Amino acid sequence: MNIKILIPACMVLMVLLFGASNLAHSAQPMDELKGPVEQFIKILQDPQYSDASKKDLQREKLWEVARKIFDFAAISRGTLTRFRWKSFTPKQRKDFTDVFTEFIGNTYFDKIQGEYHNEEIVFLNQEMLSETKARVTTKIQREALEIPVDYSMWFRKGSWKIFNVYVEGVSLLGNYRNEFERFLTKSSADELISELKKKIERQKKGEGEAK
Amino acid sequence: MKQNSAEKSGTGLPVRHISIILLVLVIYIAGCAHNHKTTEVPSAASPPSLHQNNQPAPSPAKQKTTDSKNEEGDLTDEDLDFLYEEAEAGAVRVADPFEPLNRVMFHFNDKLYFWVLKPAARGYRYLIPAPVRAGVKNFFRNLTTPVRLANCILQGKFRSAGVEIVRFLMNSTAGMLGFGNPAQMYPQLSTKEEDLGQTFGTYGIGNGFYIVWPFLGPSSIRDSVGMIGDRFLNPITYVQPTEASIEITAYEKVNDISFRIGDYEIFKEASLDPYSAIRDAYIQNRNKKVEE
Repeated sequence: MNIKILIPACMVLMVLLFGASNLAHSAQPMDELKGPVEQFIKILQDPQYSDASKKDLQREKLWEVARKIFDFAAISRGTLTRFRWKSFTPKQRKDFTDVFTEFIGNTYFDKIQGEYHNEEIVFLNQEMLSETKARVTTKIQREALEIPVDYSMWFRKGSWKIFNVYVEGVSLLGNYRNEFERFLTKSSADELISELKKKIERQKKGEGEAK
Repeated sequence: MKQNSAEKSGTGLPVRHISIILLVLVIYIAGCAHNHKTTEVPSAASPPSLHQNNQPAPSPAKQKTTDSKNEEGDLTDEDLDFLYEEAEAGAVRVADPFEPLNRVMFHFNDKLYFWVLKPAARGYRYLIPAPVRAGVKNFFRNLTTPVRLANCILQGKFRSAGVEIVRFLMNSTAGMLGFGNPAQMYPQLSTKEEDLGQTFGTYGIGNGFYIVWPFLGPSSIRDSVGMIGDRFLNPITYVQPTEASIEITAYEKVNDISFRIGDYEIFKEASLDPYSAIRDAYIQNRNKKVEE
């Protein structure tokens, strides 16, 4: 074969290979999600936590995993409009972030710790929206029921993290944005924070008001 | 319903013709099978909705409004724009002129759930093993094939319409009158919920305003009209006497709830004002279904 063709061909090949390996290296949000989900299920199925007294320990383990994969700071911030966030003082911002993180974490952990019935998580697809943003579609398989859950993920600080969740097409960020905006048109930032704190307290005391 | 009669005459074809149509359908669907990963799966992520949700390439005007000084120093302006756009896209709202009345209905349904449906579903769940309940669910789903089929056709989703027919025939025969779900083994035979409200939506008709019906729950004016239309294609509507028809519907509801005990509770728990949160979620969920 002519060397004049061979050299460019090699270069193209190298670019392709290099490009592909680069892609495989950083751009696999679905794989990065699979790890924590498997850890989650492992913790939930682990018999050492089956005793009621061990539930707090289990909760801690769940938090550990969740903190790695969820971008709680961004989620909290996204639930407020730009304008609201600016109107909060730095302390209010921090308090809100902490309290909202604890609130959603506790709400969902209460649920899965209480009612985990060997639901299976099926990973369906990952769609790259850009180099650093992706949407991962999954479904929860529970007996004869399928619940679609989609994750918006971005690549920040060296790993893929979740910054929004869609359950049956309902956006977590969108729903809380509406809720908090409604609340904040009538009440203050401090009231929102204390309202969330109250809800956390109620959750801790046992089952919340929903029962 | 005109579509109803059109369909009936369609299924009234001689058996020979049906088998030819079926054969063609099966071949067509089998042909789609290996394309499945590339065609079906991304459609679950629904690219059009993504466009709407994310609106990539923020406009220069938007760039200017970004916080130049990002106190937390954590998120870049670009990320922040992306985050806000995603949140904004999900913050769907709907007119609710009858909110006071709707709240009363919401309260009624809430009590109905906690006092009647949930205890019933719990007891039922305890007594009846999951596979049987799944069979009942399959049976009802198979029975409402006409509703989905008609709406697939009305929306021009002819492939989905074909899938509905194949599923129906497969599940009614090999699946023993629809209690089984052998079609489940073929991912290319998976179908989506379709109803007249969604069909209206694809015609460009908006939700209108929000309504909460006693017993039936959240709806919109558009979806309520759709619900009435769909009833004509639901065989259970024609069960006589009417009490029996209502009882069957109630049983179906309890059977459904037996799979979802706890879901409503957590949603309530996770919101500051459950009434509004459920309204927003209902509308978002419906919008997504219309897009699909």
